[in-house]
Amino acid sequence: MKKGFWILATLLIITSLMAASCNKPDTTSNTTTPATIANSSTVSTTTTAASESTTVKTTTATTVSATAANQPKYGGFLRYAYGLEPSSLDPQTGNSGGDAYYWKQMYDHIIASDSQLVPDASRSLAESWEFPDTKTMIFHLRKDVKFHDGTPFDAAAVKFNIERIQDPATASAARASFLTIDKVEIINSTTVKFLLKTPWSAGVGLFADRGGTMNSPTAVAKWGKSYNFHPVGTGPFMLDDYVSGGSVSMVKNPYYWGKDKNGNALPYTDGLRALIITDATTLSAALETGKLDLAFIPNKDVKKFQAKPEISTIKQEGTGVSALLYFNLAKAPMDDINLRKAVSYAIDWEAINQAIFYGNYSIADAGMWLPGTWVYDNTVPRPQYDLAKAKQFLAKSSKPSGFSMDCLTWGNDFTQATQMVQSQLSAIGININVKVYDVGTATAKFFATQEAPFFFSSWSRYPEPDWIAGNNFKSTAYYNPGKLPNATVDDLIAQGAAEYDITKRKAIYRQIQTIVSDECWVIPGLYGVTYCGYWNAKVAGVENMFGWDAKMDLRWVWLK
Amino acid sequence: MGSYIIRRLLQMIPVVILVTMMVFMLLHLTVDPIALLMGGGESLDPEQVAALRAEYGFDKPLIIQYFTWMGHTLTGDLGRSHKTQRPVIDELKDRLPVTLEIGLFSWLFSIIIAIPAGILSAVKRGSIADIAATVITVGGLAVPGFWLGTMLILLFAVQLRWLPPFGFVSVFSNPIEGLKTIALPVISLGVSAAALNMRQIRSSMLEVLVQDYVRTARAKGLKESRVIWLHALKNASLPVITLMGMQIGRLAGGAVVIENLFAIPGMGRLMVTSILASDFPVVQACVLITALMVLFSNLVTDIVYGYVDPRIRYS
Repeated sequence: MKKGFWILATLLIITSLMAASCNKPDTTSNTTTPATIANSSTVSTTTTAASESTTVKTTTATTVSATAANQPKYGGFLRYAYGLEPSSLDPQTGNSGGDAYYWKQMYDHIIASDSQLVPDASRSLAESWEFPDTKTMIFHLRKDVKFHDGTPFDAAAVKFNIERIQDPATASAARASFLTIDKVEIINSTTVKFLLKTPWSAGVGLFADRGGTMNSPTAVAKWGKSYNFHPVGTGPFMLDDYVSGGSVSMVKNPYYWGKDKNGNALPYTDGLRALIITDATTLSAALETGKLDLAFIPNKDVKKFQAKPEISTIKQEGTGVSALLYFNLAKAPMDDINLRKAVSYAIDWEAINQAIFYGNYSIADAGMWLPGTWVYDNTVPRPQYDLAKAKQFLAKSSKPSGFSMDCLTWGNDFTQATQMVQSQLSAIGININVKVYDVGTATAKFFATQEAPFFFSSWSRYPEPDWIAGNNFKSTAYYNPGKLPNATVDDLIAQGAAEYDITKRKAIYRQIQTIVSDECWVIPGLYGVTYCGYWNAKVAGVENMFGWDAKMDLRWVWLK
Repeated sequence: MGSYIIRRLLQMIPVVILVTMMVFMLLHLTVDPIALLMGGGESLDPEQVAALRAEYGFDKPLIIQYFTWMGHTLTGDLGRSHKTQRPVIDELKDRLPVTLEIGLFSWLFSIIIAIPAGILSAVKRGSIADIAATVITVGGLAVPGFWLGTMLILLFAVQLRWLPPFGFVSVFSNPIEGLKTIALPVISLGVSAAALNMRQIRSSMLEVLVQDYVRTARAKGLKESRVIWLHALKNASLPVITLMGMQIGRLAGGAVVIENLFAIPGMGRLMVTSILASDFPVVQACVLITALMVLFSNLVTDIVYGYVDPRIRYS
């Protein structure tokens, strides 16, 4: 009897662990039909790019019920998760892009933008704005808006916030850009004028990021340095509780001024609970078991969740240039344009996408200009995988019989991807020595101390092209390690920053893209694609929630 | 016994000083803290960097920084978190009890499993029970905690839906919910300790069970259970006590991985998030507390050892 018990117990444990590790998808739910939720047309803006950027996949049954239950409901608490701890809940002092998943729910911008970074007055703290000349901006502010602590939002608050960013003691990441503002003048309580040092068309886009958020002057004075975890904005939710390493809880701002397109008051839910879950398996398990209402799905689990009828997924394209090869144009051997072209033509990005990113990402067909932004243009010629061409350029180069060079990288996925690049380049006789560091060290070694000619990294979604061009392609830019003077590109960047007409700006950035692509300054390989999963019987309004920065704005989401 | 404890406490002082120096120097010598704080520093100008350097005292010589830090630490002031601006001691007050609770229950779990299994395995040496226990033990030692934790989540949370996959509720505030939330982390953390303890108890018991005094006890007609639990186990427990004491450090280290896996807001997770955020004062405090925990557990082990085996305290 005892022997039998031990054998049975052993077998049970082994079988259980094997069953758990198999993790089979639900075979009864393979019949999902991609469809677009009925009300998604109200979300999409008028351009094709925007409609491509957000696609909702759900079951046919859900589509029917979504049409019937289209009216938002009020109440309930939404539980979502994110994998990164906030570096700060104060948008002006934080330095992590992931912080926006938390602070975005508590703040408004002086000029907010839609998903393509086109300014949208209906969701901005400025009702309207004007440019009397290229070096003056005048903002007409909303009346009767208050911060969460009751402090009125007015011209004085705007002046305070801009000067706070410009103060070196604040250590704001937005400071460098905002130094373009020479002076802030209060005309009256609802009108404020910015006098600029130089023309600044990019500023309109920058106001939709952390620098354009408005913080309560009273709360900043009250909390001092610890304001970063006592945020007070004008946004739809107010901070209730922050548990470091655990969660950020927010409650509805009962006096919020924002309304949806039908005039209903925002937000719809009574509050939010953002759980900080760093492990991908745990995060998936939490969503799958209903402990979360909504969460980004780890790459490895996308197909599993797409097969589940009770969970719908919303796809967000262009979340960044998520696989990007940088060259140092001034460092041998990458100072040879033919070698850069040889490398560019020898890399098969689709193979890397399939092997490392589970096929979820998309080919970067418009360089650094991301899909779903006004500047996106995939008609500019670019090097595409072609081994014969790669060999031709290598033969024309200074090292026709091949060569060796170091390639820096960071992180598990990038290390594996770089090893694939290593394997692909070996096919044309180029030998890569992969050197792996943590992200900060690798970035510093490539851009600051310039220790290698080649770097596998990524670039976050930031649709304002001036910021991308100014930081990557300007001859003095930090992310241009070679810093070779290129008067044409520098001049185009200056023109782009000074031009307020969006059509003319787009033409300027197309010219920059043409030069950069033709001379292979960088190789943008893959655009990131994220999938957000949500319980479709419980959560609605998700099609509205992604902003220009691909971050969730949960004022638009409601619980059925 | 009193002089023995005082002697051991005095021996700890140079170790503590060495630990504090290592904690401080390791962080300050490896990289420029301002560069870490800025994540590359590209977004700030030199004026801002200089202001930050002065604000955090990084512009002073290293030795001055060390003594300043030590002086504050000795008075219970561990500084302020660069990230949250809260006193580090407040951060630890929230987090340390969570880690201690998980560690305590993991330790208890390992003992509850290891003692009966180890004794059974030794007494029934060569039986199916012994072989099965050995197989499980080897498995428990070989399997990393994070993998076992992942498997337990998939089995008990996702497949069976018995237990939550993440979070923490204290057993002392809500016993039922608490036990549910800590069950998986405790098992993940405690299995390897249980396996080690079991192996140690088995081999110690095997040594003791063939001793003359055990044979004498049996010859006197004592019941077998009395021979094992009273006569054999007490002598077999000496090496096990050492092992269990050493496991406090292992559990503190394991908590770093397990707390991140199960999203538990304990000190292990605080350490990881602080390292990622380059939050020096918090990292220093966490490493210091962990080192002190190990030293303290070694002290307690030595005291218990001395109590159980009089030869130790008089040597």
